[in-house]
Amino acid sequence: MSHKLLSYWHRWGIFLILLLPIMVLFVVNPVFRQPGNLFNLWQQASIIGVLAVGQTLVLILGGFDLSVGTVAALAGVICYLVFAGGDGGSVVLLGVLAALAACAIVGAINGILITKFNITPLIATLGMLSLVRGFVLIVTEGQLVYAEGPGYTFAEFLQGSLFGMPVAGLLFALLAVAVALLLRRSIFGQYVFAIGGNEKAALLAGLPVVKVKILSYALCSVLAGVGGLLLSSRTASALPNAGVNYELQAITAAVIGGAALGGGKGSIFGTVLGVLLLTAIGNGLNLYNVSPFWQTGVTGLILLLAVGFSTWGNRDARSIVR
Amino acid sequence: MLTMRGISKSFSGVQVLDRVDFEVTPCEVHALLGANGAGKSTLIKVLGGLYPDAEGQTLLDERRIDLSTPKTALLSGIGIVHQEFDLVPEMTVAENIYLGFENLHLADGRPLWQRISRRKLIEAAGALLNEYKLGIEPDAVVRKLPAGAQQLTQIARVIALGSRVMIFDEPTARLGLRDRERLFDVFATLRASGKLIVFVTHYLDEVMAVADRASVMRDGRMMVTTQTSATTVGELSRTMVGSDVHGPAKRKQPTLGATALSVKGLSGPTFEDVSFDIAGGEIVGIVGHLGSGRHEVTRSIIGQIPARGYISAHGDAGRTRIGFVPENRRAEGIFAELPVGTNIAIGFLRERSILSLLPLRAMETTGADVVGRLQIKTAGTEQKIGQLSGGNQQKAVFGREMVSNPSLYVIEAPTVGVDVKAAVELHNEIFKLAERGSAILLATDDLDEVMLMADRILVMLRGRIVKELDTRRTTRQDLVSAMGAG
Ligand SMILES: Nc1ncnc2c1ncn2[C@@H]1O[C@H](COP(=O)(O)OP(=O)(O)OP(=O)(O)O)[C@@H](O)[C@H]1O
Ligand SMILES: [Mg+2]
Repeated sequence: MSHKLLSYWHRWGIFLILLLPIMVLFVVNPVFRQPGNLFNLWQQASIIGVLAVGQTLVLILGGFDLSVGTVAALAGVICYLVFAGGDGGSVVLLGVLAALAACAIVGAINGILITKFNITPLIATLGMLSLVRGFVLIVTEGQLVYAEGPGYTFAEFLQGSLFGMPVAGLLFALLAVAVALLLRRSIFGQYVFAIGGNEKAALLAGLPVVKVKILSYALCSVLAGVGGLLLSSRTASALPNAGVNYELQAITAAVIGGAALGGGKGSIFGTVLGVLLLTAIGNGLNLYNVSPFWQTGVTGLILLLAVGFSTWGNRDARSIVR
Repeated sequence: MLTMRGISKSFSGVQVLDRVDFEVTPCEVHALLGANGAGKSTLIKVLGGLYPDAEGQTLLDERRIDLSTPKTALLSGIGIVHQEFDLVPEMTVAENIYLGFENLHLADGRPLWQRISRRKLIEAAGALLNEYKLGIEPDAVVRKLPAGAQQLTQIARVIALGSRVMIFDEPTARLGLRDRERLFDVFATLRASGKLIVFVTHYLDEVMAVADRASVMRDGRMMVTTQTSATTVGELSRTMVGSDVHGPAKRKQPTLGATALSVKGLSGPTFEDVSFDIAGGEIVGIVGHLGSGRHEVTRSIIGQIPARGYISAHGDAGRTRIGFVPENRRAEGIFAELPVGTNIAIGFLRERSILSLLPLRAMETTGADVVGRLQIKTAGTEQKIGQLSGGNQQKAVFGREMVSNPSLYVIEAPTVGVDVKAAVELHNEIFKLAERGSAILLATDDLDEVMLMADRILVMLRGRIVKELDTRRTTRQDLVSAMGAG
């Protein structure tokens, strides 16, 4: 059926188009296809990747989370403050748990603001973005927090490799698979799709809408926290200014991957593809010494291409409901 | 037995339900009747746990039930197909049927982390749809289904819930002839198994055919409950509206003007080589079962669905406006958050404004005029249209097209969800539009309506116009057989 083919094209065609320059790069540029570069690429992708996975969850829910970038910074700062405050192996566990717990709380507050106080996700998480950034700046007094001893070893581990693969990349893959399974195979995931698809129907069906929303925002924040830990492990230190604009990159990747801002649609697989493509193209531009200024522009172009591509001439995408 | 006693509900001071008593017994199909805005849907929403602030009490089998949230209502044994759609469009039929009870039984405390088995859902839904012969595929995505199939999905959901009380708010409004028969078979089966069935409709012949008892509401009050065998259609409608209902004025012999719409060799996704003309002042009906291409032809004339071929509409000033009344008013006809007055006036803002300023006076007078003429039940032209009852929204959408004066109207199912009296009103208005010289294409599933209104009827089957009937020389039976098995 040509109609079916067309709808596949609308859904996946953009990946083919974006894959094209990457394949060309792979063929013509020996540096690009070096295992070392691919290793780097995977590692680089994992920070935004983890954030984008969480973002996908709330996008499907029909929401939005602008606070993930600063939440990433919060996770780093809390973790490294704990690292700096003690020594012994247990400090690592303590730091990570404290950081992720803080993120979970921030996410749950996002969820509560949205569900109980009826603040739109955009505003709620925009407020949270500044609030958390302010908090981080205050507790660090704007200074970088760094780790020695076990904390430093932990950072090294996160940046290291396991069986020839980057630890950060493996963590990203693991989390992506876990969230994908959660979304596709669990009742929770089913409810996320249902709420994003038609919230009124979800309410009438007696679904625990508030609970699912709060849990989703909490999970999104925790994933952002993991991203923050990966980010800070690069330098074994936490910067209060880390993660600025990461939320936009995460949203970009998820949208390229097919998540709809109206909710009800999206997939982790698509998002992961989106992240990998964006990172690969950035990496390619680096290899040719294209300035980072251009890279930002290219990211925007890709976003517009991706969305325009899947909606242009696609009647399904416009809401001609019957 | 379901007993509602002294149910009252008001919205910001407007009393919508006034001490309503309502009783349904087991093994009964109970019709809930009333004019548009009488309070039927509101009463049903109280039962559905949507208005916890309503006064009064509700008992099921002598026990009080908790109607504070939709969930508690569901768990108390109340299953509802609401008047407006409540499906998740991106999900499959099976997923929608079992939404909220994915482990197939409606027990409380489902763990969110539990695995969901789509295969099991599809199997269960498939069995159910087969058993009740509903004729939809369990793995179809709801968004892609026509309105009728979506309605059947909602009905299947209530059957799957297995609720003791099953309530259907205007289920037949979106169903074609055959699906109505299917639904009534479902009612019979459910009644035999001891369920309490309530259904709302504006088609009184349906009431006489399938209901055991009927309750009639008017202006938020319960007027009467009777055995259907002890009453008549005339008496029921008299109780509904408070006065006799007279049939529409006879269609005057039309004076035809120049051709207003000419369609030649139109082909599109589901139809082929469709050709017809409509003259000014003429009413042409177009009918066809689901899948006959009727819907798509209509929508390609208004420019929504692309098609090949030739369409010309001749307007007065070289430009043609088409007055379009969509069948799906909620999604395509109203601006739910805007006032009734604005919804009515929005079609003529450009014509009447000076220096691009809003013609506030004209908006107000026209809004009030339409509300009066069509007897739209509203707190005022300032009320948000989304708060009106379903039938009153429909009337307002019609009213909007009525006030601007295009030479061609495309009208889909104008009286779906509209009460008996208002239906007569709308039919008269359509006659008037034709007498003013407008050409009218009337697409409807209601065969009585098309027989009454149209001068000619185009019958579609498998994407083609297979017959053109002159209404004066046609019986309803001719029409049914021309439409084929579909
Ligand atoms: N949310 C609301 N806010 C204000 N008024 C409302 C609201 N919902 C319903 N109403 C009013 O309550 C009255 C009864 O509405 P209801 O929907 O129960 O009528 P109905 O009998 O179902 O009519 P229909 O046959 O048109 O569906 C209407 O006049 C309507 O305007
Ligand atoms: Mg109603």
